[in-house]
Amino acid sequence: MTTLFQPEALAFYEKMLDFTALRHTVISNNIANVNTPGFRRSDVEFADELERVLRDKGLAGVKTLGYRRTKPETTAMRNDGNNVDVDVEMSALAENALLYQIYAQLLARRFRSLQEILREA
Amino acid sequence: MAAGAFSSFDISASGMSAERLRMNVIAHNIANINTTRSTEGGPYQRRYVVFEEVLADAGRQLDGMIRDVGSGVRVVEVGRDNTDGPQRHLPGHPDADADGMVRMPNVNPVMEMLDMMSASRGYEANVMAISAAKQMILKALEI
Repeated sequence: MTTLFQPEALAFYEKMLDFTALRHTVISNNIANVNTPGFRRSDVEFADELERVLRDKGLAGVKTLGYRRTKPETTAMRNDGNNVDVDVEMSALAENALLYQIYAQLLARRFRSLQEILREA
Repeated sequence: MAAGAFSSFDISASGMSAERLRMNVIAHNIANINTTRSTEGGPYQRRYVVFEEVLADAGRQLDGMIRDVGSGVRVVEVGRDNTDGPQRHLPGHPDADADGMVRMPNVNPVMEMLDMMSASRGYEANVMAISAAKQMILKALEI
């Protein structure tokens, strides 16, 4: 049964905002360590496939979805053992920031439409 | 350090201050490119900075999810490069030896310029990360 406020949908947006905010921190940390010898870049991903969770448990399952920290090994290696590539980090940063804004915008729209419904009622 | 919405500001700020310190050291090297007398005696020896990753607190894992992934960077040491600089033939110089040779600082201007570019790009990248974080938070205020 669907309710007017659809708490699962709100939880979904909340999760996506939380995840993109966390990923922003990780990318910022990579960028801050761009000149640290021996530093290996890290990234973060969902502990389980989002698509499968959505299929098996629906929107409600997203709330309990954990995160996993990854250390992707890239071939771009420098003499100092650091594998941060500024171009990769900057594009990931831009992409992630836009995703955050998209989710924020979608959530705001949802609230606005609820407001509209309440006004009409 | 708390991993809130604003923790990425601290991380990027640590990167900015580390790159700025590196820039100061480079400026110091370039300023002393012809200094034949230092407090330790002998010509000036170039300085370099050593960066270190600041790790997250191990205890910061709420509800089994990663919260802290790293807390940026810090400068652990400003070291001295003790290799010998080039010798120049300047017979009238007060620091010249019996053969008229003066030991010059081991500062290589090309290397310093490259380091300077690297520091300035690193600084810019951190500034970009902060402005992206600002946009994100401003967007969140619109919800």
